[in-house]
Amino acid sequence: MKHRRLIVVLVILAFGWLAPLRSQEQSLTSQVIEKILPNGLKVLMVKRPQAPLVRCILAYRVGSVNERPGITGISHFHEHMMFKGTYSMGIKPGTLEKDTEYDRQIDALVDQVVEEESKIKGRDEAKIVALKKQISDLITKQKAETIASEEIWGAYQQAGGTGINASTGNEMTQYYVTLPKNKLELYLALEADRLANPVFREFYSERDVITEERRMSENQPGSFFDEQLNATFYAASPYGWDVVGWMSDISRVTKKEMTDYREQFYRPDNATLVLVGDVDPDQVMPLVTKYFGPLKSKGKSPRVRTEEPSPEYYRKTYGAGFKPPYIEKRVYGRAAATPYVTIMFHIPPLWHDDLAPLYVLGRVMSARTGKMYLEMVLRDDHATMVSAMASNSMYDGSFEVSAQAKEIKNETKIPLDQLEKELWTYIEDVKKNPIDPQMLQRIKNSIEAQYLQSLAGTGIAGSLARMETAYRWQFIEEQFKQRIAVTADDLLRVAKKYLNRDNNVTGVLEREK
Amino acid sequence: MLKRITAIYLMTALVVLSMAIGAAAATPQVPQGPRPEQFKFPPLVFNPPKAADFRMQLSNGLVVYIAEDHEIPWFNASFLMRTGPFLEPKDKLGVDRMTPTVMRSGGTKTMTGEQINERMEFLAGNVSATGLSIHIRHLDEGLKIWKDILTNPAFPEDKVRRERDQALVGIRNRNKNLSMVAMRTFTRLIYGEDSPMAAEATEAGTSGITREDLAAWHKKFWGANNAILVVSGDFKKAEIMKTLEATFGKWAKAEKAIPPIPKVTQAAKAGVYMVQPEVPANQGVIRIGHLGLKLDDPDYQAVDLMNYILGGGSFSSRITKVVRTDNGLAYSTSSNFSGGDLYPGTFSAFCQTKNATVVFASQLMLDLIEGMRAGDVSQADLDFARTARIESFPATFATRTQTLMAFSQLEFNNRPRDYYDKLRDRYEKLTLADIAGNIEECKSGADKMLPNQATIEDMAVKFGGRTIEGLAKKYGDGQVHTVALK
Repeated sequence: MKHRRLIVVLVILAFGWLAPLRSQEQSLTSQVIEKILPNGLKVLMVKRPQAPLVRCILAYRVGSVNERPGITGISHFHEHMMFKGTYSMGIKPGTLEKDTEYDRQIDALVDQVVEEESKIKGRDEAKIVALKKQISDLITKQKAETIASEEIWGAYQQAGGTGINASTGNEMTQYYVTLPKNKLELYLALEADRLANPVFREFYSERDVITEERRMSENQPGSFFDEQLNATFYAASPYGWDVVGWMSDISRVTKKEMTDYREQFYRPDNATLVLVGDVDPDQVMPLVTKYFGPLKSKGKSPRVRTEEPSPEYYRKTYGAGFKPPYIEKRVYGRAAATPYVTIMFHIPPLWHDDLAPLYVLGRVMSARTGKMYLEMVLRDDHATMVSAMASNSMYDGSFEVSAQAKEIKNETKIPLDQLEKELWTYIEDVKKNPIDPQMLQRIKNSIEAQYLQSLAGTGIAGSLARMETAYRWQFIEEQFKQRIAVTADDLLRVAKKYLNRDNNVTGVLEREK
Repeated sequence: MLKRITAIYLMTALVVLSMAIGAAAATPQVPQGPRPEQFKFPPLVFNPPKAADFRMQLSNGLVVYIAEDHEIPWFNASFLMRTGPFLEPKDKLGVDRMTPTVMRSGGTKTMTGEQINERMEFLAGNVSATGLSIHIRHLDEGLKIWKDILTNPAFPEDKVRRERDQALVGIRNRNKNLSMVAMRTFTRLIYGEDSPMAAEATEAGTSGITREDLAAWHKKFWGANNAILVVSGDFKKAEIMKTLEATFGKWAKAEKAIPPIPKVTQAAKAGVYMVQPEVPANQGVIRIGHLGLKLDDPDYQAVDLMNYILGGGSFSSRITKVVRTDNGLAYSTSSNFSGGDLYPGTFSAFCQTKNATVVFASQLMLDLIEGMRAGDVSQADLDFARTARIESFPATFATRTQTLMAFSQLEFNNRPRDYYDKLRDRYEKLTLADIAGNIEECKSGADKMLPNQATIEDMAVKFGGRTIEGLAKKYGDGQVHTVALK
């Protein structure tokens, strides 16, 4: 009871300006029902009974950040493989043994190809061709005789599922669907089954699908530059590679590597089940226990240790008296894309106290009523878009200040190095001059309004999954309160601390002529 | 004698070999997992809401779809406006898209765009020419600003120039993006180079657009008779209707209603068309299709189920299963029968695959389309598609906003108001005869477009002699037509 009163008081303070005083409804903490199974599976439920539907997300704390060189992209590849079936789904009735044997034979032949291809000298090309032919023939037979393709997806479609999909990020892999509420048992049964008993059929054709997925993004002009810029910014962190992975890794990763990888992360103790909608916890929990309860706890999954070597890092690691080395990094490129300049600074993870002021600083600098927009875009017409944004990540992230150059007939209106200099004048400005209090109030009003809107509907399901995976779900509300409490002094302090030349990587992209 | 022993030995060896496979096949005991057909689901009775319960009108005839939504203290409203690039004069292409943007960025006769920015930032709301989203306690001020934008736009020179510059950048870059080039070229092939339905802003036209053009366009089409207002939020309906009446009840009619649309016919003949984007790409995009249907076509549901089976039913559709799952040729592949509200949409099967497999993927898709035309559909296919459509029906009304969008779109698209009451029943009644061969009713035939080919020799070797010329011979006039970028 005492606890609840405290929440109400905090919420009234936080909504001081909008002050609709329906605090109970607007406290996320009071709406979330949390249960934890003995095997560690966390269940988060929120009642939103507008329609007889439930938004279901099963999120695993695994993403590209858990990978290592050589197997980049494996988290995402594995996400695709989770749709390939189990011992009972994805195969024709009564063909499990035959199917297993096909997979064994195909994998053995693939191993031979990999071995032959990895020879530096004396590679037998004819042998490789012959082996590949054998593999292709076996795959064709397997598809015809044992595989029932896309059965999991199809089962959700037959159950009236919408928004069926999955996604992989740096820190999280999630599987989701919105189902009519009477189909929840099917959902729980299928998800528990593919957590416990996935079978990686069609591994090699799916790998080709992923290379096509990567090519699709490669065909967005400028995407290679963005990838390399990011790889330069993160020297130590696995954030340095894209979620999809390097093409050379995707095309070589083995099934064995994937099995070893999933063993570490696909565990009930590393998963969060989020159900938002017309859901009755008293009816749902027995079913969750029925299907997920029998899965064994395997202990906590390994966590990544990583910190970016920034000036802050050097001071922390080598002692306050240590003088950090002066290092500036620049990446310059050309592509058939709109030219831009971006100045990236290293900043701490989302749980750090400096993150709230950094977030607000980003909002202030990129506001339509801010100097950068009013001058660079509206008054001088040097840029078509300016932005500043702090990441909200599990490990050290970035604060990015950027401008897209204004072009007249494919020539930038001012040279890009001048655009870069202009960006620095606004960066220096926020380090020296306190922000106008009215401006700060306006930004806080927007932050409050956006938080309020995020509580409506079933959209909160995604936020809960993401924050629980990256940190803990209660932090959604805590973070909001921290942001609302930021002062002008906080902004000056973090600007001075992080927005420095020896803490940055600058990217300059010119238009390819 | 020796021979016989050898023969026996060989036979034994064979037996051993086959036994070895049998032994390996004895997999360890695995848990018996679930199958969907094992489950009995509690019944879910779902009666869709009625359009009439949400429809109101203001004294000037403006149609309003409105619903209370008390989840959070918020107000959401938007206009569906009946305008479109197909109405633009030839020398002013681009004016339709620029008008609402400059209405907002340029401000009104009483407030500049920057003043609106500042005020809306303080009120923590969002306003555009066609929408308002704001905390309910700031509703009055929000509506006042919105109405001002809607009825009194200033169209100042500097903001018109800025928008014009931006549009020109877009025009100069649009031929660099592979999938955009494919989509736009396909549209031009279907409706015709000079058809208003394929109208695109040009550099010359856009450069000549003035503030007077925008003001004239606004006067011509932006009025109560061309709009439907959609409103939801934390209010009492009766009270808010008074507010809306006071705000929009005197909003004048536009000069013009949407004129009748001339009959649309397909422009390009069946054949293979190729276009190269300005920037080399490592994939090609395939679009195969023809002129489609209007939304009010009586066959629309039959075609919808047919297309679900062919390529519209995501991973359960044939195109996805064959092109993506079985052959690993694409991440993105599907087919779509878009229904038009005023004129027919298009049928389009789509795939984006590496250059070397463009012809192979095209052939696979064409074979699937041919199969559909030949009536290769089973009762199980039909039941699958039908069940998916019927079971997912409640999701149309998942939120108040979605419900209002569904009903307002019905009216906007001239569909009957009881459309949703009868929809499940319509799906129920469809038989195999309605589905199979439906694609043939669009008589214009399959047109193919294959932008960005790789070296044709490579492809010919790889796919047993299939070439792009082969496709042109089989499905067109034998020529591979090169289409110029626009």
